[in-house]
Amino acid sequence: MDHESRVGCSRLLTVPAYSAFSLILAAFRGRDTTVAVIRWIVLAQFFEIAILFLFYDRYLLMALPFSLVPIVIANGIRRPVRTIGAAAIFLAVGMTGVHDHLEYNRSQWDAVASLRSEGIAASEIDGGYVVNGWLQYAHPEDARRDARGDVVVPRVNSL
Amino acid sequence: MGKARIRLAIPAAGFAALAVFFLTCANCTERHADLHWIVNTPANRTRNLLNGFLLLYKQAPLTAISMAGILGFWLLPVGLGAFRKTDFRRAAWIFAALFAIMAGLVWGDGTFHLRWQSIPLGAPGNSGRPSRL
Repeated sequence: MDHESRVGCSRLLTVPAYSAFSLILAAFRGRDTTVAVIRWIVLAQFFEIAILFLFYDRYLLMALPFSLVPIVIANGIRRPVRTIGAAAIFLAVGMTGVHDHLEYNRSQWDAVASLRSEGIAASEIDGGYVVNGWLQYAHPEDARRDARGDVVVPRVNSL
Repeated sequence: MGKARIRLAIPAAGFAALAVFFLTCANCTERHADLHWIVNTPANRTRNLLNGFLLLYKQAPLTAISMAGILGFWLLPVGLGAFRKTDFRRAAWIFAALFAIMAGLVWGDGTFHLRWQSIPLGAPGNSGRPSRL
């Protein structure tokens, strides 16, 4: 899938995502003590994310459990078949993505090992952020240096 | 042990486990790197904390739509199974507000593309060695 298609898909997903989030927020109501505490926790997380600029999806995981508790308390899972069906689709897509990622990672490090076995120096290998970060940034003795003696690692601290 | 004590003991045990983890995690790290050059490390974020407060008026709407887009997507299964028709009016107002914020950011002053690294304020610790990113 090319970049334009990915952007198009993410835009299409905005409507259902915003709808689900709106429904979840609509359940943040009432005087229930648990919901009140969770409301404050989610608000604190909101400010933490905003102040520390934590915009990658992994940082938002912390708000996930607290976000779904109020709607489950207020409404319960009224249509379990829909929830289980959607969760199963998410699980299948997630497992496929993890499998792909692990395979990609394995192939990448196999390629690195092959190059290293041919005697190619770590500083000559540009394997992207992860490979360069580990081989050169985490092991600065193997990295290239600039005129000032600072490490220069492609995709980590230089372009 | 009463219910109240059990309720207190559960998070206390969590914090104790976290403290033990932090005290011992140094042994779990294979290699410690100098993170000075990595822009978005926790240390650099903390050093730039002032930016977060000063730019909160810009970051808050961005955070709202990020949370809506990402958390909303993840919460789709629960949303599908748990919604009630009585929530629709309230949810519709929230939905409209989120879309208005997004429209404002997309067609507004470019805040949508604001990134932590691009902010010139603060970061006294970085001033001598600016990032190359």
